[in-house]
Amino acid sequence: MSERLEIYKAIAEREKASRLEAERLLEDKARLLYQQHEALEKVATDLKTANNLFTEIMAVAPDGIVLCAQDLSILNTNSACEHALDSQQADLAGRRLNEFFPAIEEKIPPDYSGDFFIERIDARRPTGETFPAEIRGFAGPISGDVQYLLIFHDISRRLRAEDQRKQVEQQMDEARRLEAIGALSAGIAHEINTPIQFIGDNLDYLKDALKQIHKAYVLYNHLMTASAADGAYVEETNAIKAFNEKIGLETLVAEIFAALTESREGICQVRDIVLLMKEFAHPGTGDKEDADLNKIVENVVTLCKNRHKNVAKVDFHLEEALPPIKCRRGQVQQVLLNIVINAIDAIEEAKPETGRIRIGSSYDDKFVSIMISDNGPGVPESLRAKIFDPFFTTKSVGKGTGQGLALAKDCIVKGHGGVLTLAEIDGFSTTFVIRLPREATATEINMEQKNVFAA
Amino acid sequence: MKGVVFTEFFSFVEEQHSPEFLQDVINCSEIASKGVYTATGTYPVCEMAALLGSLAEKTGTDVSRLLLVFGEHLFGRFADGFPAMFRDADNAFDFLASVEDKIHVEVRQLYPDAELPRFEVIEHTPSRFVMVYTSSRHLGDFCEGLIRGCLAHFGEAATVGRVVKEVDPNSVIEFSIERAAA
Repeated sequence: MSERLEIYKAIAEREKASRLEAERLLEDKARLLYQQHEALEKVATDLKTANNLFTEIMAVAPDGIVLCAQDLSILNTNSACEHALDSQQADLAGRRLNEFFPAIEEKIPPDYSGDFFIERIDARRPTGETFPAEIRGFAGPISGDVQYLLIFHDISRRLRAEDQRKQVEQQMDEARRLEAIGALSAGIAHEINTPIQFIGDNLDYLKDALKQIHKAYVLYNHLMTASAADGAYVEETNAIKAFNEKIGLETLVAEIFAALTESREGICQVRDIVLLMKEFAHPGTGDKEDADLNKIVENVVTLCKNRHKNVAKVDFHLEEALPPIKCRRGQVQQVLLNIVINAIDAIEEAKPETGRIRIGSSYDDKFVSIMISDNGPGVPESLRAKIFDPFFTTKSVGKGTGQGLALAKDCIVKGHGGVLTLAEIDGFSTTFVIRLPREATATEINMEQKNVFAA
Repeated sequence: MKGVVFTEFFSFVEEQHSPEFLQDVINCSEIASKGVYTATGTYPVCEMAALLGSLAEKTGTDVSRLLLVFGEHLFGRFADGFPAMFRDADNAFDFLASVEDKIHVEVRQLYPDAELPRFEVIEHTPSRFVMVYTSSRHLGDFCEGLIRGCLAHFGEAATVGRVVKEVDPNSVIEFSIERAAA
């Protein structure tokens, strides 16, 4: 009996212990569940944070982000991408990448190759409009179906800036070249000026001397006539007459006078040009001074005579009573030279039967105006709004920097409170009008001297 | 080994003999746990070996036979205790085919640390089913008992053949089940 009791006691103890063991396991399991719940909540929070972060990054990233599958179908895009491609995310998802980046499959590396860079590709919007872009990317696999990550950046602004930088460099080169020419011209003008001066003086002296010699010859002629009347020195007189007739002395003297006069005029022209070269090489201090615009116009035309003499006939319609105005003569001279050279270039390009440049001047109560017209090809209506923009040029590469008219307008409008516009004059395709105020305006800006030669 | 196998083993011994007999088997086994098990716990497989050894000694039945009979018994208990596991199986072959991919997946959800044997289906036709059992616990007899319990549960008559492919380190046994002609 006692043995059976021991067995039942053992069974009861085992069952009790089993129950306690079950309770312990339950507690352990409950604790484990709690810990797992905590961990799961943390994971959920982390996931939510990561998802929010991802969403925010996709929303604020300044460059376009595209996630693609292996077949280059678009899986996900960010706001910048949608904005750049002018499309909604729903319209982009599932589309092939090459619909927006033509021929990209030829540039994108195979998967597993890691980082890649496409220096330039023309991205295309659904409207057909394109823009240059660079792409930095990663060829995965990345996560899930995502095989490729592409981050693209619109580089149109950078390319424009590079173009402008190149043009500025070109302009700087041109300016340096012109500066060198200017310095050289000033030196040459100085060197030429002195010999021209004494050549001119010598010509004047020769002419005066020739006049005296001619007077002496007239007196000798009287003597010779008187001797012949007296029958004296007949042989000598006849020999002189024969010699004078042989050399055509009267004609010779007249021709010498004419030659000296022409030489004097030529020397005067050389002197004028040398003076103009000196003026252009040293255009002044920038202070305004009274200037005769008609004179400036004539100087400019003289200066570029070599350019226009075989291209166009220049007609002047200058108002004789044009009042002088206060201006920076050097700047105005350069602006006029610029416009006249543009006119010559235009006529050279169009090759009309007869090239014509018309330069007129006029005035009213408030303004003095200069009109420069040519019968070149004209400025198309579509370009009229742009011709004063910096870097705008229709000239071939290397012939113009596109700065001439922009700086000319700058000089006339900001530097002198004037106006530089295009106008219509019958018989001419292009007419530029410069209007300078007779009285200085308050809006003028005291400008630095600018080189407007670089047309 | 999962505690449910121990607790069901105890039920099996109690039913076949008596609670006192079971306690005697436990006492003779000299196991560290002293027979304190819960269905959801996990216990050393060596304790099951000790219990089986004691039972074999006391009943005069060899361990292989005991494992086979206990396997058959346990399957019936599972069928009673977990009817949801049988919902999609109409016959023994379909059920056996679902063990690896369905039953074991369910078990792992409840007991991530469970060390389960692997069942690989080699052939599955209406009349013949071949599967390979692989386990480090060398319980081929127990497995055969479960297979036979399965056939009994679905009321199917079949012959079960077994070929031992490997013994060490794992037991690898190929079971061939031929359904008896109707």
